[in-house]
Amino acid sequence: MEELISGFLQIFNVGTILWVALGEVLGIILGALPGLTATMGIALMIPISFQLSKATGIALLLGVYCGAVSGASIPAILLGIPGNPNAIATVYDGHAMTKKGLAGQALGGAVVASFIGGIASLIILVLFSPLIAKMTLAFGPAEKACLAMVGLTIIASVSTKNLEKGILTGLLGLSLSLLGTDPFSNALRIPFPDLLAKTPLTSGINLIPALIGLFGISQVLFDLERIKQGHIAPPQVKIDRVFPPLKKIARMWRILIESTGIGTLIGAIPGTGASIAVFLSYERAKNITLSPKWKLGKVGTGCLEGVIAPEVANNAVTGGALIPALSLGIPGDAATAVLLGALLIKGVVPGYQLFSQEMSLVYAIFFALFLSNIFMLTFQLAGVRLFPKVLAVPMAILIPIILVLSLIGSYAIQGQAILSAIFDMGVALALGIFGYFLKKGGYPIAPIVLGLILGGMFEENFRRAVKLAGGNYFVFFTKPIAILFIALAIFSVALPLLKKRK
Amino acid sequence: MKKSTRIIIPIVFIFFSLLYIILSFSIEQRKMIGDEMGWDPGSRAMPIGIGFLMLGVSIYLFFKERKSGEEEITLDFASKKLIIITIMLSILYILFFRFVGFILSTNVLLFTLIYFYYKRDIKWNMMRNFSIGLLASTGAMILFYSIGRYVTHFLFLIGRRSNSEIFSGRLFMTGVTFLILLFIFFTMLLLFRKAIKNENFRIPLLSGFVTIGVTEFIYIIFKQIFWVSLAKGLIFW
Repeated sequence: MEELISGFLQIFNVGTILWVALGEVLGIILGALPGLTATMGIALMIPISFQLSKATGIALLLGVYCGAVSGASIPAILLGIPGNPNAIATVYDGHAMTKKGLAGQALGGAVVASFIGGIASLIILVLFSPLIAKMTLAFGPAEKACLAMVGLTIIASVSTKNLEKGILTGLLGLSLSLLGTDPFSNALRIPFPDLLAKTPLTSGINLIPALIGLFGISQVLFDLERIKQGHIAPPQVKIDRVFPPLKKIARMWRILIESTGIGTLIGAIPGTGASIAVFLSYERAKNITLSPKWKLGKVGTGCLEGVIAPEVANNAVTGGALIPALSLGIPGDAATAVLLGALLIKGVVPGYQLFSQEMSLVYAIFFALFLSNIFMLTFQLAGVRLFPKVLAVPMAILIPIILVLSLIGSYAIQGQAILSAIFDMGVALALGIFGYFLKKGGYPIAPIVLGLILGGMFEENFRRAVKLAGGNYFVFFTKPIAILFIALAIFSVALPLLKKRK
Repeated sequence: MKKSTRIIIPIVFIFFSLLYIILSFSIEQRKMIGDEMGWDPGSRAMPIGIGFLMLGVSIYLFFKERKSGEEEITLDFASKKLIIITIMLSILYILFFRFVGFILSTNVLLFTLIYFYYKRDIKWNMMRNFSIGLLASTGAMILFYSIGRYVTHFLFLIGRRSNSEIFSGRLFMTGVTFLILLFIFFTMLLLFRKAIKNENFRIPLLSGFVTIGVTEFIYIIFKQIFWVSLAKGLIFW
């Protein structure tokens, strides 16, 4: 009980509430701007969260996350352009509703659906994450090493059509995570150690500049190609009635339940992400509305049901993706990978340790997610006529601002030591440029981040397991849970290959 | 990206993996502290393993990309120029950040990028107007920053003399400085609103205003609220 109250107080104080509100507004704006993703928003906010207390910093990032996921529906509905890939399915019925003059209802419906999805998945997160974290008590070094491998292989296999590219970028992340100093023997693991032994490279690649570079700067360079299109004209749409009729939403109870289930479940599977969840829930809603007994509008014809289903699933992913992130240390998608990175930087170690020793922080995270959803509902409904105006901000202004924020954000982490801070800016820029070329070549970025995050966990547990087994490398095949994880890893790699053959 | 360009990425990975393997072998092989029996795989086992795996996958991808018939859309020349300029300016920004300082280097980077992004297609004949705009923006930025510094300094003195916790508090000083600068900024914006509508002055004025506003805002957030040591460089006050 004490921990619950402490968690509550960590979030419900003036300072934190203001930071969450700010994060929420920034998130909605970022989500509403096509091309700018939730992941990038979180990465850009990490330097600021780094300066705040643990709970407040994480709450700020969760605010950005919820806001950006939900804000992506604004351009999807008004312009027919999704703010990010997660809102693709919202375009179909949402934009059709705008054409029918029902933009207000579509926007309002999307917000209410986002809120329902967010809160329902939060309840599931609260119920299940402590249980899963408890399971990790049975994990020794061998199991933990295999778990890290599963996280990497799954994200590598589902984040791109080309499995090898995903694996290669995952390996790149792993290789970069090993730079610095060996955690067990303090041996230097840097190129040209005689020359570079006194440089910041000895501490390895700092996660924050890497995240900012890979998700912020690479996106800036990517978006430069759209500069020539100028800015998007703000939609001249009349928005009248915003709040959708509650009776109608109540009639959609089956769509709401199924979409929440799909979103949370898909979100909880590492690497899958919201884009799969929204299509699955959209298809399910289509089937449900085909039956006349539900007395619902047919999905695909420009009706509220077609907006509600993907938006519930889209936001249910937020809670779902946090389940493996908090309980196992394996992120559900790219955005939670960045969130997980932020947690690690703050010294929070996910898993049973977090749930047993820092339960007040876990409660604080739950309360922060709750508050973010409340703010998301309030701000989006109140600003339903205001937020679409951000679409008028020219990319020519936005891109340089994001670039400068990315560079200064990387600098700020070690801002008291100027040389290390400048080195971090260099890391962010180098990875940003490299990330841009990788993106152009169809290589996914998320596995690099996961490699960077899980590299340490993988190596430490791998070596510990081999040592404890007396130098036996086959120890991983002697433990049932480890075997299960290896089977999962093989399955995740084999499945896309089998699909291709078909 | 052309097919030939796509092959370059696996080649880069092959070189990177080879370099990584060579450097991994040069790492001192140390066992875990307290590992008397020598069962720990050692400090260079993992880098070597990862290096070889990366090399294998890169070689496989190289041959796969060579066979692949897929061709992607190439970038137009104007976009290429913008990307190269952005990368070059960012590199210069990092290199000179310490010596030139946050205010001046950020002013130059932001103004240049916004100006060129608005123009989209960069040509030599626009350099005169650009240079005048940049000089004007830099002057205005220094003035704006100096006013902010003076206000903060003034509030700091008042706070110290009054012995009041509120007046000498960081948030109070930052808040008042921010509000005063915001007032000046919007007054200037109002004064220049007609000029901004004029096609000839629109881009340099917009670039200048955005640059000054964003630079000062970042300065206030990071320097005055979070006390990040942003390099002063040439503007030493």
